[in-house]
Amino acid sequence: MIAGAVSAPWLDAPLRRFVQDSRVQRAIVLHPDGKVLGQFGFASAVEVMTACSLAAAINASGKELGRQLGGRPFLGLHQGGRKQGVFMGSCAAAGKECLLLAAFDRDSTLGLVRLYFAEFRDAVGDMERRSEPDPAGRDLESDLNSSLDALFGPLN
Amino acid sequence: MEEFDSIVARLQRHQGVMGVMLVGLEDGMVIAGDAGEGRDSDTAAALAASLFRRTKAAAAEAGLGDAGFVRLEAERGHVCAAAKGDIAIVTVSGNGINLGKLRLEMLSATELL
Repeated sequence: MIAGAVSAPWLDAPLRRFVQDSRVQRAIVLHPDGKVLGQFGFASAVEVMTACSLAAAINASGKELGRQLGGRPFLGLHQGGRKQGVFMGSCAAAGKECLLLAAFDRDSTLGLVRLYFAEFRDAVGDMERRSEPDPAGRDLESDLNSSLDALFGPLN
Repeated sequence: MEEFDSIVARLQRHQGVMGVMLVGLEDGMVIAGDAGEGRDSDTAAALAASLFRRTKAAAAEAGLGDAGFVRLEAERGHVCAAAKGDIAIVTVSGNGINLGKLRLEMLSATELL
């Protein structure tokens, strides 16, 4: 079983199920601004921080590219390699957009990841908002740090 | 793509076959065809590709060599898959079908891939 942690309790079961069913190596759920909500398979806070930053940037670029090319933002992304692939999909949880980024090897396929992402999206789509509203004035860095603290404990 | 479509059309003519798909084994995505009316082709393709890959791995682990044909028997029918290279031909059929003939036709169709 891949080790993981979530800062939003409602995310635990759907994310755990997604990781188990789709057999991805790593998965991370975040808000488009880079705030991490949960992860499986990452070994350190630095890895999570890097993945969140890159995912947020890719999502922003993809959205803008979609607008430029077709007038509508793209909602998903897949990068395939010979041995590894990366998938990123967008979903709504309690009316708020979330991104799921997953890395998988030859133990899984894009088809499987998409299939179980659809189940994950449905599972979190109906969730009631249980987290506290974001305090005004907080910036990306403090959000990210508090999320990482919740997942891995404070950095030394 | 025309070659793929003609393979699908050929197998769809087989009596009792409800759906025919060509599926990429590497990504589990539909290349041509569909799983039949009322079935989600994307789901069927992803699961069939996964089944075929794992069966191949199991056969190899057991020292049985490569798996060329896989048949899943279910309550109301069969899912069969035959592959060549990175592409699998997947059929969905009901009970009462001539499975021997379907198997031969599927294996013959893989030669066209």
